[in-house]
Amino acid sequence: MISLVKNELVKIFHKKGLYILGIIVLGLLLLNIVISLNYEEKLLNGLDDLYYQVLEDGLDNYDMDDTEELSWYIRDKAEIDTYSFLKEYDYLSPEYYFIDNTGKEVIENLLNAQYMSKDEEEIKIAQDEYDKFVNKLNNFDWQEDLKEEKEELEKTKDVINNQLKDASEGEDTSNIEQELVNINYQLEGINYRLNDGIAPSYNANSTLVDTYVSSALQYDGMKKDEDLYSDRGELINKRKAEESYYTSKYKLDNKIYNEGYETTQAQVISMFSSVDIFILIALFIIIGGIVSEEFNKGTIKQLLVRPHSRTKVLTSKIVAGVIALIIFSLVYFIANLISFWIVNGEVGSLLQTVVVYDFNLSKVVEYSTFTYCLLNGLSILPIFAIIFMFVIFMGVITLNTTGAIVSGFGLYTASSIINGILPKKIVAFLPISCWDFRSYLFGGISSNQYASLGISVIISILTIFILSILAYGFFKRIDVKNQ
Amino acid sequence: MSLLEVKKINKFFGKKHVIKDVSFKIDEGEILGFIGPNGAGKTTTIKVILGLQSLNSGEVLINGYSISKDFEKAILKVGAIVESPDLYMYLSGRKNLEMIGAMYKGVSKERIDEIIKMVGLEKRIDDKVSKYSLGMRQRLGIAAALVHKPNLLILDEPTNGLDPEGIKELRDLLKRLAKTEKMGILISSHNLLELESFVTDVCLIKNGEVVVTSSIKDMRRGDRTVYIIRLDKTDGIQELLNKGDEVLDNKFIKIYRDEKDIPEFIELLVKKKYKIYEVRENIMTLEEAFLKKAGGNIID
Repeated sequence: MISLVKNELVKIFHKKGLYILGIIVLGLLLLNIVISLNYEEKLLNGLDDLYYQVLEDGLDNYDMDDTEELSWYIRDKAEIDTYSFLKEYDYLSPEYYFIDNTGKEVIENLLNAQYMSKDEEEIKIAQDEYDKFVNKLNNFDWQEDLKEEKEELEKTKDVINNQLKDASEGEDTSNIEQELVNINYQLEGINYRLNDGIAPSYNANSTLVDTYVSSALQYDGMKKDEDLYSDRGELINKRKAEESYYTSKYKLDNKIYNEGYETTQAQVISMFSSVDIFILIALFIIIGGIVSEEFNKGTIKQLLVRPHSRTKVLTSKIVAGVIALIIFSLVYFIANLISFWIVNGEVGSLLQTVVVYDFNLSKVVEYSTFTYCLLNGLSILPIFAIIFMFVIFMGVITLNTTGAIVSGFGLYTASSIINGILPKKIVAFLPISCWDFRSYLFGGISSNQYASLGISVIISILTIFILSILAYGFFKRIDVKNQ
Repeated sequence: MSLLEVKKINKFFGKKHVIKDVSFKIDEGEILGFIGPNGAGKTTTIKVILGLQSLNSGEVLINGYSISKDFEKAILKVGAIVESPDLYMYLSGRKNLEMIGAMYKGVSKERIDEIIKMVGLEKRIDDKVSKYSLGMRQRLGIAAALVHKPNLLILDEPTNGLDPEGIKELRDLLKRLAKTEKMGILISSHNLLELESFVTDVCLIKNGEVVVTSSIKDMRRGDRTVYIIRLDKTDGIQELLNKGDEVLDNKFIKIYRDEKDIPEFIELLVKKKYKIYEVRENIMTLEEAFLKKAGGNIID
């Protein structure tokens, strides 16, 4: 049996298609590295410069007497002027974020006053605002700004508290109560920023604070008792908000931060959390012709006149296919990991834990990157396993490589199409509706409300079992046709 | 125990009855020529024997094991080439042999080298098979069939693609294997002349049915031998002839008689005043023997 598997591996690793795929993957990774390291900034800046130059050249073409065209002129000029500030700063810097979120509006207001209303008083006010913005930028201190904002929010909070105190019995105070909740979460966010030095910016830590504030607000307004949800979509939204709220809070409380906005850990996790198209293509190349090619080229006769049963022959092909796919996936993963390392300049983030909200335990738990990736990988394994056995089965019954590959790819794409065409109840128990276990991870629920995790596992195992029985049954009975 | 026993096998393709009660056997040291025109059912029979196609009824026993019930034991000591030696073209000849050898216990590297030498492929064995000529592929196919030292060799039209020198070498090799290794050999062909000089037995198949099975010796001799007699005249001789005998022209007659009956016939001719110049035993070619046994133009 081992010798049969070895022979199959020799045949698989002589397939040109596999090497062509490998070269394409390496080429894409190299291209990504080269662009990221050398050209990304220059390229994007160059494109930005070009874009704004085109905008600037176009300004002369607007008819300033036409109100609509004038508004376009102001819009474009505001963009050009904002860009003249933005290009001085790094994308992840707090200054960039400040200009992008505050400066743009100030500049647009000034231009509106100058060109649209032309009112002296308005121009003066807008000019003062603009000067203030420029001054702030020149003496940039985001902590001072946040402290000011905090003071303002505290004052508003006092006012609301007084209003609530003064409210007469029976008066509807829900609006101001909601506003109070809102202010409290905003203040929490500011406190996290000030305490941990997280400036408002586009980097991951700042986004984490924003996520916390928005998910806290969203989750606060939601019903907590899941029995009250009749709509599956609403229940899933509630769960998403709940997960987002608890995990972001946990990270902030425990200071689990990431620098930058793209880490090697995040990229590795993303690799394991989705059906990678290159691994799927490798599966088709390895498995598509593993049976049919032997029949089409006549080499099956060399295999079937040896002292090994047909069951052993097919098993050796399946085992070799699995081994080859694992080897390809490992090489593919290592190549990707190296490219992430080169582009991001770090692999240390892989040592960080992954924070997950476990709905079964109703608490946040930490997993190592390895365990988390393993769990995610296992949760999509049924997809690969079912497609794998389906392609083997189709190869055996059609003895046609193209037919086997096309039907395998068809099965994969059908999984996303069929749910949209047919009523959910009809497709709920189809293998392609149950083969993705990702949503069940950590006590999660699937959008397929009819099939629980247990049912999905049973359907997937049954599917693989039935496909195997059929493939072996047909393979044992195939007559080697005369040429 | 015979090396191969084919017992009344039947095979249908849908409703078409392609193999009809075919039976024959091969013992140690025998080379059975499996003869028949194209489409007669030779390859299908061979595939059924090797388990490449299922049989509808009957039984195939190889070394005493049933091919359908005990496949692995039955096929263990069989070497075969079916239709053409289809090998992995993208691998070298050596890699092909190594892979085949790995499917058996005890096929050593030395055995592979020995078999490469035996088929004369030493110089090109490390080239990819795709670069081989048809004849070289045929030799490699023979090596692949022999690498595990089988005691039954089944070759389907193995001379295809071989040049006259190659055919002669194959003939000598098969004779040697049958004689020294006591190997039983089944060799199919539609060309009688190729097999005539070295097969020990023949089995003629036509339209899926065995027409005749016989040893070469018996086939040639038949039950009566042909004699050609040259006379001074053939007038009035018809009354002395048996059914099947022929007057060839005014000097020659052809008669079918047992050897022991010839003196008596000569005596009769002398008595009837015929002058006898020559009596010649006419040895039939294998083809003539077949024509006589089976009647009609049975070979392509």
